[in-house]
Amino acid sequence: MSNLAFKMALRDWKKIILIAIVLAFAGSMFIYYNTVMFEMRHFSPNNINMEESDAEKFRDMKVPTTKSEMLVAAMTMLIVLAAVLFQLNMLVVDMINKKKEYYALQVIGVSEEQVELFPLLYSILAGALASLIIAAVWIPIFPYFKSALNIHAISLGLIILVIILFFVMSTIIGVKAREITDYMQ
Amino acid sequence: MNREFLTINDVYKGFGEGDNRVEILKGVNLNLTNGEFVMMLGPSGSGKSTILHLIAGLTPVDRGQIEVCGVNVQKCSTNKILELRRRTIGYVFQDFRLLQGLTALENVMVPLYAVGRSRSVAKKRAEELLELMELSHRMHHSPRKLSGGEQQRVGIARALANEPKIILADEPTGNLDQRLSDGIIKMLSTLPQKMEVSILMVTHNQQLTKYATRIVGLTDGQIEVQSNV
Repeated sequence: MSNLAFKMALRDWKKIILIAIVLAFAGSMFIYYNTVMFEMRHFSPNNINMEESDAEKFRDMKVPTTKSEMLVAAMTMLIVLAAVLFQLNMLVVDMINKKKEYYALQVIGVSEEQVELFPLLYSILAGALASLIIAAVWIPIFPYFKSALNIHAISLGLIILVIILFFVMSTIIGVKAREITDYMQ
Repeated sequence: MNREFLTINDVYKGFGEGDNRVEILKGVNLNLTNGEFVMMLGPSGSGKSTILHLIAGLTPVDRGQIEVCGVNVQKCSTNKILELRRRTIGYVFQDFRLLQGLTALENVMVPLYAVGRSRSVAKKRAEELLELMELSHRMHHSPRKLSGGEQQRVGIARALANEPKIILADEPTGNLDQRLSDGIIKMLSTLPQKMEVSILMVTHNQQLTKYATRIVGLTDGQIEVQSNV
C-alpha cells in the first residue's frame, strides 16, 4: 500500500515542490539571521568568549541590543511558523478534497492506518524535499558563508538542526493532519 | 443449492436524539441467496443507503440482527468487520470514489494490497478484472480521463477484486445517463452467473428493474413489496 501511496504523492509533485520551496525559504531565513545573531552575541567585543582574531571583525560593528535580538529571532520564528502552517493548510485542504475517496478506502476494507499513509507520504515528501534543498544550498556554501561573514563553524549546527526539524515536523504534521481535518470539520 | 449470503432480521435504525429523532428503518426483514440480483427501490430518504451501511458494518443497528455469510455483523470486532469488508463484501458507490492520483489499474489493486497480496498477484488480478469490464485499453489512465460509465466499471472491478460473496451497490447509476445506466446494470446482471456473487442494489430508477431477479420496495422504513421477476 505504501508503494501506491508513494506513487500518488509523487503525482502531486507541483504541490510538493511548492510546499518544499516555502519551507526551504523560511528555513534559510531562519538559518541566516540566527547565525548572524549568534555570532554577534557570542563573539562580540563585549563578550568574554571573544577570541583574539575576532576583535578586528567586530571593531566597528554595533552589538545588537537584547530587544533587537529578540525581534529578529521572533520574526524568523514567525516566518518558519507561517511556512509550517502553509504546509499544514495545504495538507488539510488536500484531505478535505479527498475525504470521500479516503472514506471509500475504509469502506472497501483498507485499514485506517493504511489510509493515513496517503497524506503522510505527501507531507513527508514535501518535508524531505525542503530538507534536501536546505542541505543542498547551505552545506556547500557554508565555507564561503563562514568566511564572508567571518563566522564560526558552530553555526553549522543550526543548519543541520533546521534540516532535521523540517523533516520531523513534516512527519508529525502528516500524522496529525487527519485529526486536525476532523476537528476543523 | 441456494445458500443465504445475507439475512436481515427485524432491523431498526434511527438518527438523532429526543424530539429530533427520526426512525429510518422500522423492522426490516430481507434475505439474499447466492446468484441473486436484488434491486431495492424506494424514494429518497427512505433508508435504502442506510441498509447498505448497516450491512457493511459502517454504522450499528439499534435493534435486530444482520448476518453476512453466517457472521453476525453486530457481534464483530472492528478487525473482523474490516475483514468482512475486505473479503466478503464489495461496495460500489454512486459517485465512483476512485483515487484520482492513481490509474484505473492501481485503483483496482488497492483492495488486493489491503489483504496482503503481492504486487505481481494484485496486478494480474486487477488486469483480469479490467479486461472483464472491457477496459483493458484504459488500464493506465487516470480516472479523470475516463467517462462516468468507465469510472463506474473501474469501481465495479475494484469491488470484485477480492472475490466477494455480496456486492452492495449504492445507486451505481445515479450519476449516469439512461444509456450508460443500462450498460452498467446489464453488465452487473451478468456477474452472478460469471462469479459466485449476489448483488443488492439500491436505486430509484424503475426502468432498470428489468435486469433484477427480485425487486423489493422500501417504504416508510419497511420492506413492503417483494416480487420475483
